[in-house]
Amino acid sequence: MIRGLYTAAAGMLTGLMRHETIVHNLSNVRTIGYKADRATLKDFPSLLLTEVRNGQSRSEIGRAGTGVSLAAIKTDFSSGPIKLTDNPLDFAIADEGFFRIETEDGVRYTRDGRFHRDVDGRLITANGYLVLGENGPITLPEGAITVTPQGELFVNDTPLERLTLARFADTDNIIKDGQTTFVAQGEDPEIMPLQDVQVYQGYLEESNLDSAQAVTEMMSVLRAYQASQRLVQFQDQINGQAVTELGRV
Amino acid sequence: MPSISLTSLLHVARAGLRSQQTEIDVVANNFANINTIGYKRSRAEFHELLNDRLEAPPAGSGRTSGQAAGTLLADNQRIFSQGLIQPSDREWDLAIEGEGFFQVQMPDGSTAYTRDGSFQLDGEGQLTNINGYFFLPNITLPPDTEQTLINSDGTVMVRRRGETEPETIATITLARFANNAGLEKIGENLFVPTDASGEAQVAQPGVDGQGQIVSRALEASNVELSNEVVDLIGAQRAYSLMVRAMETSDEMLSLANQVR
Repeated sequence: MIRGLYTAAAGMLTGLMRHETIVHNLSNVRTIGYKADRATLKDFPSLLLTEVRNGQSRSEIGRAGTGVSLAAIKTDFSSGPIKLTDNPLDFAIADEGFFRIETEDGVRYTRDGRFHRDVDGRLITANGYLVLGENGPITLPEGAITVTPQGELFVNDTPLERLTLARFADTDNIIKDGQTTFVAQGEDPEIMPLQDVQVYQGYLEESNLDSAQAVTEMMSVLRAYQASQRLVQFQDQINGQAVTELGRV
Repeated sequence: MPSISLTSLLHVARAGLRSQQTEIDVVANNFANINTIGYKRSRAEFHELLNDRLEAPPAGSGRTSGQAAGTLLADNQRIFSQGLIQPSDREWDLAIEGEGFFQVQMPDGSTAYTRDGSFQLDGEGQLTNINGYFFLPNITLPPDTEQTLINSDGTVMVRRRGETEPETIATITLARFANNAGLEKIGENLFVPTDASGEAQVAQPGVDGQGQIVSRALEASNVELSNEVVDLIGAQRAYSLMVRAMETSDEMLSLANQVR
């Protein structure tokens, strides 16, 4: 009897977590380079129910689920739409790859290409982290900057550096580190060869969240939550009946 | 399994609402300055916000910190792209084509920088901007000036009454910064340097990558109506989405309260 109560409550709790992921996604619908999260669910181990008579188990009744929980939050690494900004230090990556940046905690990866030039002429991200090229942090002399789609950086038409992109064999090895950056877990990524790089100057990659889908999901989560809540109430009601009415002779 | 509190849902939504509100404010400010000479548009920049790292990363959460916390407004980035240069009929209307800023002297003696080139002469023949701040380097026109000529390299030539040949009386210099985006706006279309922008490097127009002076012209604001409208619509829609998310969160909290 009580088991059903926990199963229903697990449904409510999981509903809240799914909702949190959706709200987090929605609040980043305008964040450049944002990659949407998806909550994946798993059911608790189901129980094999058997009929027990005279201390001996007889026939199997079947399996009963014992609830649901959050399995993992997966990041959707598909590309977002690319918008024109005409800002010479805005970059968007078409297709695969990440910009490599250096933070105080080590190398991080991002798809957010809003770069600036700092006081010392270094190319930095909007958070102030150094953008890495072929030979470490990129320092820009003064002058007009042009970047080819292969990431070759020219200053006043003189070749200077190459904006290198990293590619992961398995996106499961990258996790979010806040501020729209990612950190590699386990093996280091491969530096993409020149011919595979597609980076566009004067463009930015918008959030890859499909807001219509997110709202639909939010509605379905709400209703599922409501249903779980009703189930909790119903279980409580049954338990109440069991206590007050079954005992009556 | 990540921990979750009922009210954190509302805070995640609130973070989104606040960011979108700021973006709408930034766009509104751009709209308001669409006809301001030398105005440089801003854009709101957001980052994904994860909660501080007090909490250990939950296994399988795909994140390095406790939980999702919405979005964070990182900065209002000012875009210093060139505005359209429009002809005008006043000789002290100056526009910069390319990099650089005009320098004006603030009442407290410090220097401020601007792209707004609508200058004028005061009663003593000294060049000031529209707020009455003196142009730097100071330029005073002789009282018997009959004609003024400002060249693209910044040299100011005047022809005195009775003379036939103009003479050079001053040279306009322009200041530039390693990182324009680091400049701080102090109102009245003026900027002051910060640690992020670096010190001003003053040079004659046309030298060292400095822009050129265009006389009898003004630089229009670099706000583009169509871009701003698109941004406004996007921000408004995102705002509505956040309101919707907040309503849903509220409904869920209410359901949780009604369990019994």
